[in-house]
Amino acid sequence: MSFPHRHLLGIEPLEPAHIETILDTAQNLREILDRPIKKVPALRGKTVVLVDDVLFSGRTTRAAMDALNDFGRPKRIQLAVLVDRGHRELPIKADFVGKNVPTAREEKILLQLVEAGAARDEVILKKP
Amino acid sequence: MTRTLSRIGHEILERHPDVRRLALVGIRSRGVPLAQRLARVIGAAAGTEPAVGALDIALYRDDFTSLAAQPITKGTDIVFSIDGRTVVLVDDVLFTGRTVRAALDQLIDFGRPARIELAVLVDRGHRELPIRADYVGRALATSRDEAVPVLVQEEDGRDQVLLTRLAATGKRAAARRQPSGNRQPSGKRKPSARRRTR
Repeated sequence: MSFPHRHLLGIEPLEPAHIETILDTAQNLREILDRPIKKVPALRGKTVVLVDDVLFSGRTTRAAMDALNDFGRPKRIQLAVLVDRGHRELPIKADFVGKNVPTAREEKILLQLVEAGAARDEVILKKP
Repeated sequence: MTRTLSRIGHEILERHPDVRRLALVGIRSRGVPLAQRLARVIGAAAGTEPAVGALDIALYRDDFTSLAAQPITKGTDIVFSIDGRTVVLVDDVLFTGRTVRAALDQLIDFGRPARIELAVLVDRGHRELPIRADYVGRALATSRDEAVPVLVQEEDGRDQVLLTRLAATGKRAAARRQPSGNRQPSGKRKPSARRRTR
């Protein structure tokens, strides 16, 4: 692991604010871990299509693959995204892409869905 | 094979001219000598060789219990920090993508690379995960009941990519990736095995 040794061996130089941040982070992780994951059927032997709105670095997809593997070993995992905006940091590709949108790294893509209370479905490219 | 590796080496260098921020990590066992050769190609062209490491993914596979009771591990060997670097994973054959997923997991446990890319000598298709290679030696159309053993000088005494047919189903998984040296599929070799040498 790459955890810096100075954190482990010399905890004194840490300011109270730092320690508070660390504890908060740990608490947040704890809450996330305790969150129940609903509506995931048994996956063993199935083809699973992961669906996400935007494919960017690929890190979310990797984490999702990991989480899926905890629910049994699917025969196959495919990836469907509405927008592929490039800038991959992992060797991940989508099997189904709604639209390829070349973007700058600083830009943001916002997805508005009727289900989430938006007036209408919309994909917005936000310049910095 | 030499020409292919030379081309891939130059492609990597073209995308990442700063060799000090680059690291090649071979996946055991055939990926390791390939990573070392790529490092030599890059070193010859850039003057500096990138750092080279080895990854043993036997314990990270999602099916390791079904391959062998005791997975044979030769150990992972990464003596440099991968934090902030571009890491190029190197393997001989890209097939289902499960090996690569396991390798990604292990690498991310090791540190925080800025970016992970994938270089393979042969992409034989049949992906079961949304994985793709950034650098491909050759894409090979294969059927599922074939095996593509890659032989390398350092481990097998010669450089060769074979295409062989497996005798029965079920051996596919075993031949796909065994942790140790006996990767030669036990099935009969196709009489007309397509073969490619240096």
